[in-house]
Amino acid sequence: MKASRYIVLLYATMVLVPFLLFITMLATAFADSALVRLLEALIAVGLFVYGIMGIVELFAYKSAPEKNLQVVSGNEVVSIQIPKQKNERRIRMQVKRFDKDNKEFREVSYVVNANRFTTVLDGLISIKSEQDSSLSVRYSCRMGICGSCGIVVNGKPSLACETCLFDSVKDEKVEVEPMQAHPLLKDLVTDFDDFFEKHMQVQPSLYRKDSKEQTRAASLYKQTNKELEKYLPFSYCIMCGLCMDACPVVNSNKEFVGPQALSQAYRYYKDSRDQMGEKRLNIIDKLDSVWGCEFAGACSEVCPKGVDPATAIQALKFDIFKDYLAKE
Amino acid sequence: MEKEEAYDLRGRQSSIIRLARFDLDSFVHMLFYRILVFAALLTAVVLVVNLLLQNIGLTLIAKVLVLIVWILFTPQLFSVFKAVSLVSTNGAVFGHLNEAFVRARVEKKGIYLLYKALPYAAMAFWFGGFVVLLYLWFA
Repeated sequence: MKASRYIVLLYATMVLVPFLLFITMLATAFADSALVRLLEALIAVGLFVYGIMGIVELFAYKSAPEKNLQVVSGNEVVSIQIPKQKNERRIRMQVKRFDKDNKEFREVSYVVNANRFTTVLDGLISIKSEQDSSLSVRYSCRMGICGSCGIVVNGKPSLACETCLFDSVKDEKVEVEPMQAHPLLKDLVTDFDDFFEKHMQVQPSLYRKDSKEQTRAASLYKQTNKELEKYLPFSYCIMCGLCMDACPVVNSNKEFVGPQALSQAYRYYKDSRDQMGEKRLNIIDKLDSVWGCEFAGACSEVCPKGVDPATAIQALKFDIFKDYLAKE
Repeated sequence: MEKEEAYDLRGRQSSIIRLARFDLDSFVHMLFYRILVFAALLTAVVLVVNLLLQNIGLTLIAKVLVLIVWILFTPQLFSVFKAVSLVSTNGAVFGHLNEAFVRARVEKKGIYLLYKALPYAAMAFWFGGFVVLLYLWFA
């Protein structure tokens, strides 16, 4: 179902109600009470529509949450003293491990040696190799390219390989936990199947009508600098899933497509080589897709590559809006 | 291939509390919207009843509720103007685009300053209105 019709009303009330409130303020100062009463009635209607639509939106969330996980807290300290080297200092890492057998979080503290170049990932690898081999952590490139080591450091979704351990010390410890907007597998490792399914929903590839050209290339798909700049920063996505973890809507609504997939929808929509056109907008014109975004902006705040999904989503909303107005 | 069993923590409204640790603006935005949805309905009902009955006590409650809704609308309204600035400047204002990309390819135009000021100017008007209404109703 296309959601534009519903959303036009919601956005109209969102702008109209504050406008009416402002006019009422002016009317209270300068006009007679009959006009004020009329304005109050209009505000009541606007607020009623806004409230009802907001509640419909909240209750449309398909939330069948599993029970909250109990946190068995952190008296457990594993501390194997490894001799410190010059310029190193001992740092306590408090790791919130997901225990898949007992379905609970277990906070375990480890003390690691770190210098000013040590990353959180280095700390976790040293724990795994020298102190506790049962700790599960996913990583690959160690240089912020593969997007495998997304975790939450001191409450903020971050790439473990790009987060300096020294700078992350707060209250004499560094808190490390798994992302919670992806299903948990073990310790710090999360399941990305759902993430990739959502990514696929927006058809993230160039669509061309010239099938002959694709099988036997005869020319170039030329682009000007301006055409390139429209989508270039949005193509930097490494699919680390941090934006999804930061997004409060993804956290509360499992069905929401999420900032990563939507930013990629924008990336291909703006690519001059792509020929899918408006169909791309139709794919995402849904309540669980682009209109599910409440523009908190946390996704862009945590993106390690500067993809800025929030900008992409707002731009998509404007494009759908323009498309809707043009058709109406 | 056998699929590993996974535990899903999504689906809770309480998850928005997580935002408070790394993005306070977003947390306030989300929290105010959640409250606003219910406050808007309540205010609408009270306003209608007050218009029909014209009771002094009810009028006072309606005024207080309108002022609360006024405050709760602030982050939403700020977001609307921010989104306008964001989209009009392709993310150059209020955006978090890749730094290298911005340095190399984003042209800084004079009008961007206006776009940057737009949400703050709107908020100045908005708060001004709030203060005037507060004065008219309660002074």
